[in-house]
Amino acid sequence: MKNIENSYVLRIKDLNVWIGDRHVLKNINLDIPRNTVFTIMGPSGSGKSTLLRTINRIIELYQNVKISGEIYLENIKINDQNTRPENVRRLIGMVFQIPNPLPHLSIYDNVALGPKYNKLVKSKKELDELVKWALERAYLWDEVKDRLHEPARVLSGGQQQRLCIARALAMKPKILLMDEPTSNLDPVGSSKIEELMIELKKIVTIILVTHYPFQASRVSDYVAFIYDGQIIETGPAEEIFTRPKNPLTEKFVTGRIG
Amino acid sequence: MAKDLFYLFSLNNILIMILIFVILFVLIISSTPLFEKGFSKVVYVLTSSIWDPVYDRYGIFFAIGGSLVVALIAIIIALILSISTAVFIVEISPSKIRAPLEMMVDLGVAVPSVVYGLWGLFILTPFLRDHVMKPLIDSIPVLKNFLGSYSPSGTSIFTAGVLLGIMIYPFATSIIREAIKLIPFDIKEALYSLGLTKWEVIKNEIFYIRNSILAGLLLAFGRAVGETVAVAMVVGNIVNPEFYKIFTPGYTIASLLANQFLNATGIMIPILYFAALILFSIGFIVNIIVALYLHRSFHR
Repeated sequence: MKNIENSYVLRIKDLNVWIGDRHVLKNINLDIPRNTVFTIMGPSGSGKSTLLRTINRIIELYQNVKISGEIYLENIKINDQNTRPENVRRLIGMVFQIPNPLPHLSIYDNVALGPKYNKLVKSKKELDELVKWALERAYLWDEVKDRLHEPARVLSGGQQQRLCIARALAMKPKILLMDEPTSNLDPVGSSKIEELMIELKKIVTIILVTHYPFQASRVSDYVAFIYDGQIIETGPAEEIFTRPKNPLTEKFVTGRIG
Repeated sequence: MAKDLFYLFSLNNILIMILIFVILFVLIISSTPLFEKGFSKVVYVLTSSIWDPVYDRYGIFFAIGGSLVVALIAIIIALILSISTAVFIVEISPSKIRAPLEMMVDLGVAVPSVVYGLWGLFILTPFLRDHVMKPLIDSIPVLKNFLGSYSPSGTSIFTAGVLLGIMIYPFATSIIREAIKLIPFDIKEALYSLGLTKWEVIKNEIFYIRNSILAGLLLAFGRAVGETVAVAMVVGNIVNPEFYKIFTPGYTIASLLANQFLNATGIMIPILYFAALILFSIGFIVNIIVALYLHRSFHR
């Protein structure tokens, strides 16, 4: 039993979220296995993004949010008053739907900002190495190594998104949340990010949110299908895509809803 | 219709430019009697701090220096006050009191400067004398060499700078406040997602809007360097070659003009016009420098 517990990096128990009067997430229970790509898929407005933002507590920046339930990161409860949200966010990185590098900072500083503020490095040399490491992991190093000090906004959309991934990786997070990371990219940029996800799960657990079932089928190890704030079905990706138990899931993965 | 409006608005712009050049032209023409006395005389006026109506010797260096020092103090005060107020209003205050707070700060712009001057003279001046200048000089006497000894009334370049800072701060606050509000939410999310605390995020936001802050300060500087009545009431109006000793009373170009125009005769008139020209040029040059900087950093 103990071993099973430890194989999950994140466990969500009876999570409910209300935004204003709207009951956005209803009784969410999820166990996320370590070093996998765990995809939360569902149509627009089903609460996927809210779920991600609840995990790293970015949701607390919004107005009128009420949350009940428990979230455990490696058996430590992270969504109570005793845990500071910034400590949670240090361990759970996030990549957003629209690439959002900090446009006023250089490529280097975008990656270095998190480690600098969180004092993950002791010297400039260590920081340089960490930045290089993160950019390499995000398949971006070769494209930017000669212009690290140019502003981040000169990069293309796909490069900007990989920069955001590097920025999150530089924090050495345990989990990387990815909120529809390819929806604003062209096909080339998208497929690069997808390749990257499969590579990255060796070092970090990825929780991906997408409304493209085909993307989910390409990259996922596990899938949860969410509809109208409820988890309809969850399991290994292969099973969900070949033998969905719920008719709603089947409709979604075959492209009939969504 | 749209074309007519276009011409109308273009005309407005052209008129404003013509007006600026007319003012500049008048200032230059009216100062010509000074220019006719030769280059060395102009240099003398610019660099000496002697104001002697008996022997008709006038230098305005003390007033130029006074203006710059007063404006500098004002900007430092306004910078501190406006950034902290703007951050408090947008990021910290509960949303219920946000609108009333904004309104209160904005009302500061509507107060006439003579009212600021009166308040400055009767409230701020004695307050700064008793609670800032006196304790500072008393506890660290060596500061007297740098800051000068304060006058019994408390009027000083420092007092004028603080008052001016308070006067221009509502203006700077509203510009910075709007800039903070315009920071895209995804930038905030990015900063928070990196594990930054609220204060660290705010620090980065301020860095992010640094150009807007600069623009706000530029506009504030324009008002600070030219503000007349309130400054004239608290600056002391004393010819002070050591204007950098900020606790001593002094003069600014604007307060010099306001105080001396009525008893001006002979060569003093073109010299006062020349002082006005200098004042105009300071504002103009600072505007151009900052506009160039902003242009460069926005189009990089």
